[in-house]
Amino acid sequence: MKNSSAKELESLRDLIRGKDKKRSAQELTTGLELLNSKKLSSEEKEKLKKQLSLSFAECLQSSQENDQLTNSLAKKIAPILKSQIKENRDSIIDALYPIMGALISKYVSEALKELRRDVDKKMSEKLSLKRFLHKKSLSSLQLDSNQDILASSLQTKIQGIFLIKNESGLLIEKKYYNDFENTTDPDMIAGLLTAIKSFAEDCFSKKKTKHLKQIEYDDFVINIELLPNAYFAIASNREFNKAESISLRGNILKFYEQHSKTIRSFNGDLDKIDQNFKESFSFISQSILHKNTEEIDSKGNKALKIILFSFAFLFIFLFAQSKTQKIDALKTQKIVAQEYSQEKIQSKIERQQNFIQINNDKSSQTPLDKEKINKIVNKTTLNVKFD
Amino acid sequence: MSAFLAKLCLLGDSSVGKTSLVRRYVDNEFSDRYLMTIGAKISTKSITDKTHAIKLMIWDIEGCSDYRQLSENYLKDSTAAIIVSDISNPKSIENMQDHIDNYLKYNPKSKIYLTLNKSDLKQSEEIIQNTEKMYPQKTLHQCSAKSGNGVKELFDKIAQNLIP
Repeated sequence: MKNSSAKELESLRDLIRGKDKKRSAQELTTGLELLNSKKLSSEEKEKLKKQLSLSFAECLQSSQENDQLTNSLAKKIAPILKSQIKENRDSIIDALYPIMGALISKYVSEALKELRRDVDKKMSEKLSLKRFLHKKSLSSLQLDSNQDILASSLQTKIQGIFLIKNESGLLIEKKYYNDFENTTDPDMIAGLLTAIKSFAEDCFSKKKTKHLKQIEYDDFVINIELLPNAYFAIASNREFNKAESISLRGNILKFYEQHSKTIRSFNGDLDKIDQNFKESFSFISQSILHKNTEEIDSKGNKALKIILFSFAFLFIFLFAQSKTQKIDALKTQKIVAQEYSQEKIQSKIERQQNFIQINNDKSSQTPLDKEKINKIVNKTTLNVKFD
Repeated sequence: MSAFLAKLCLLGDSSVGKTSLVRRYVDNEFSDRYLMTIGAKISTKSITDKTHAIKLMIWDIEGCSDYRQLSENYLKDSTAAIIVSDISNPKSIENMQDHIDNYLKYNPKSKIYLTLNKSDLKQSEEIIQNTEKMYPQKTLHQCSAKSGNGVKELFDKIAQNLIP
């Protein structure tokens, strides 16, 4: 033991004095260790530092030495890194989350596209004429199809959305739907949820890697979506299905990427929640599920709507056409006669083959309003002749 | 008007009067009946003045040592704490140090307020002075959840100090 440490010191002294400039990587790492040693004086330490920095530069230039240096340093650094990661797990997750979030959102959007294609295919099958006729037959017998009952009962309705700071349980932002607002103090909800979540995670997760995802109460469900510093609690009438969950998480990730700093630094000062944050929050809550269920419904009825619209358009077209059609010749004669009777002009109106002959009473003082008569008659295929 | 939310924890040994203090402050009620708190009980109280609106989230944390490990998580990310002891129970006064250490483990920068509850039962200058000697760097308050003395003043003072 004593001999080896004496040898080490000897080689170090040589290093300090600069006797042998080219040193192996192993000796360099030993040099680093002994830099903290109490055996060296402060002057020797300073000299050693200078020499080590020069030797490092040389080692890096030489590729062979570089590998040795890397390997020996890696052995020292690896356990340090491991313990640092363990101690600062939360900070590291916080730093990595936006990066990972972007990767996850890409995957999520691809998965969502695939799912939508699937849903579209199924919906188009469901909206086939065959199915429509089948439904009509059921309705004539006053029976509801199982699928209809299931579809109506599966529609997700959100009562409220809360964004809550982890651990403190302080409510950052909220949004209500329906009558939920009238029931409970939202800050109380946030605090109690956090206490329940904390309790469940402590009781049932020894390593604290598992988290509470949902609380179910009769016909009411609170779904929990986690973020690094906060979590969303979404109160709805039922559990989300896969498509809804994927869509929800995608929106939440996007929201977090934009506002992670505000969420992370939130300490109860509500003035720091700016208008931009509130608008984004409203958007995320509006885009979640309501649109999804509405879209599915609208797609489901799309074919029927197209058919109805076509019929309506045809009807309107025919109606308009009838209105613009030229007036029957017989009617024209009647209209012209009425015009004349109003003007109290005695004249003879006679319909010939393809024209109307108007013979004005020569004793009449009032001239014929030929323009007016022409306008009426032009609506027909007839012509007008005046005497 | 500025708006703030703050998490305030109440800690202390079992049956020192934490729940009674909260009830007195939030509901202005008091009951002699003792019901042990399991886990945590959360109450809210809003305080408004001309320029600020503060909402206190008061976490009344159970004092039974059997559940200490579970209740420690409720302390996290708290703005301030009231450590409550019973003026007639010297052991509870001594144990305040454990609660202080426990709290500061999770919230090293938060403020702590020491309180001697049940001042209606006993008024002893000696106890107060001894307690002040035991905890020289902390301000000591006296109050009574039963009579209501000092309760509002304590919480209002905490709320005022929370405003940045």
